[in-house]
Amino acid sequence: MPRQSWALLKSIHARAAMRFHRMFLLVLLWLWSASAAAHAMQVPYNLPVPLWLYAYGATAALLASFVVVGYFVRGDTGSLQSRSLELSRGGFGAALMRPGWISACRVLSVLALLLTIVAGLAGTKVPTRNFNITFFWVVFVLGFTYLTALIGDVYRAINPLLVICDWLERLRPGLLRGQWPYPQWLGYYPALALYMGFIWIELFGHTSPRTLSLILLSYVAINLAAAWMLGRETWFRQGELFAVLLRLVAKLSPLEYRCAENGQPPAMRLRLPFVGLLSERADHFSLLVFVLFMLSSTAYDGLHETVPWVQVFWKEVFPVLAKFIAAGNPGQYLILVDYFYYWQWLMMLVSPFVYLAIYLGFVALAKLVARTTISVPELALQFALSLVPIAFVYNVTHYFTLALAQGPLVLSLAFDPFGFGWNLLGSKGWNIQPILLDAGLIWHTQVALILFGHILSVYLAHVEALKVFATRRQAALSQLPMLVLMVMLTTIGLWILSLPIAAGQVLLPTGR
Amino acid sequence: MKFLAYLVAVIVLLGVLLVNFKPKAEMSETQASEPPTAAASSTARAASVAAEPVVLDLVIQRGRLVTGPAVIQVRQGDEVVLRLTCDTPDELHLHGYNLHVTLGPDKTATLQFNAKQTGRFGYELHHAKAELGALEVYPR
Repeated sequence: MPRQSWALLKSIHARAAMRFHRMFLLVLLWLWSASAAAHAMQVPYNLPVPLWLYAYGATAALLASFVVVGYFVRGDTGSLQSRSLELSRGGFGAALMRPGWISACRVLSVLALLLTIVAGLAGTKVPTRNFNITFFWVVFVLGFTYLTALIGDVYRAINPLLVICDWLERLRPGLLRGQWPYPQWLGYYPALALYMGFIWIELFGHTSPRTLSLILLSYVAINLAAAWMLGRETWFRQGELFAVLLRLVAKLSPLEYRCAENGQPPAMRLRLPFVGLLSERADHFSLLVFVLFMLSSTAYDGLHETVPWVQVFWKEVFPVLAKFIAAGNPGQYLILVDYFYYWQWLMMLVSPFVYLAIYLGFVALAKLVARTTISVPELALQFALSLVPIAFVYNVTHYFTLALAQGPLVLSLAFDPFGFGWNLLGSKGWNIQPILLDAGLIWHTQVALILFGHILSVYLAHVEALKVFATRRQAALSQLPMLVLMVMLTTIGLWILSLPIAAGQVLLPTGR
Repeated sequence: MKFLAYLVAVIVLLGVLLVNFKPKAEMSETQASEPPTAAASSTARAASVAAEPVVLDLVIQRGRLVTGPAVIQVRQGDEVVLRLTCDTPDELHLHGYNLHVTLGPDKTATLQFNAKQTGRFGYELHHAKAELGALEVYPR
């Protein structure tokens, strides 16, 4: 190629790059103002984890995993699962399980749901001053989930939707027995679909108090209709999102409950924490996808507003799209901004299946190494629940600062739920401050939590392997690929925590 | 017993590693004066000694920041002075610190505070409902 035309080509290229750069800025500006329109939940005040701490976390995860392997390679490891203590026979435990107390909690739970809905419809439009936003997003979604990990599946007993079902059945016995039998293939897919909808609303919905109330009303309607169609027992085990999610989280807890059934009184049992995950394997492929979505949705939430991720679209995907969509149209990038959102949504929906492909790959590798006749899907289900600790700590590291900052405010909001300026019990003078932690403390807590979840998952998967495989050698070998997988998942989690946040960096690229 | 021994081993291992990874340079004076990333350093350089305040001029037009850094990076304990000019009457709100300042077309408003709390805090215009940028306060 002659030198001149090469130079010309280069200058055209440079000009195109510059035009693209300016466009990139414009679009970011536009996105920025659009996203600022309504902040239902406040953004956590977290800074990205420093690089050295990220490097430490990844190295520590790897080395600690080998210690866990060493623990299992030789000698007796004993059975930790069998030790448990019945608490409901007398004393405090029995008092907690008294029917009157449980009934009161159930009524309270329905009242809380009712207040959440009414506050959004009748109260102030300002998200920070309406009870419902903080109560639902922070107290219930975050706080109650973390509480469940400590005190077990209380939700099963006080789920307001189930209470409403009970009341309906008292009026019309047999109403929710189900019109059709619950199809076997459906499994936990309804819960997964609702979970995806929920995450979409959380990340992109920008809920106002009013829309949140409408969403909750629809959620009640969906669940009642589904319980009527498919039967409440199976629906509230496999279909209702929070029932499925919180039952999984509750397996981390040292407390276990048995609901009053077949004339037997309700019972409470103390067990070692986390062994609940060993007592049961995933009973349907959809539950595996659900667990993986627990992981991928939090990872995605951490990732989707960071600089590298946003750039993937504008530098890789956008130029390709620009060739095909509205080419030549002067307003092209404004049209393509919509595609940025479609692309974000698509990635969120696809994320669990990306994790699934990776997971199945490693399970297949484990099968190969352990030379077992057990099929890959079978093994995949066997080890699914051992990923719950990693998924749970991902979630806690991402949101605990938000829960601490926003959670306390619910106290004063509860005494003025509609934002009308009520002053019940002098609640106006309480001056409740958000709990803001020091960045150093947040970073160290985040990394420590991620490491803890990682070690726990590696440990649980090993115990599971000892149950599944005939020999200790097979079990140990099978765990090598699983270990690589878990180190990978943990490193991804840490990496995401260390990424710079894109939002707010609108003007930065101009200097370059 | 064996379980406990391994548990202690893991904890010791993680502790030793942490001490090894923690950068020693971070503690020294010269390093502490530099913001962790150079992104906004040209305009928002943190003061090397806390006594000297970080002064920044922000100009807002039609609900957007036209002059000044979108991300202000400072070190914990820095005295920060924001001099704000806005073409319309509005109110600026700095999250986390929960500071409000009234802006007007004819005057320069000043927001002065000590960056005691570490973290990343957005600031926005209340009337224009526009988020302008973020204040990042890094630990010393």
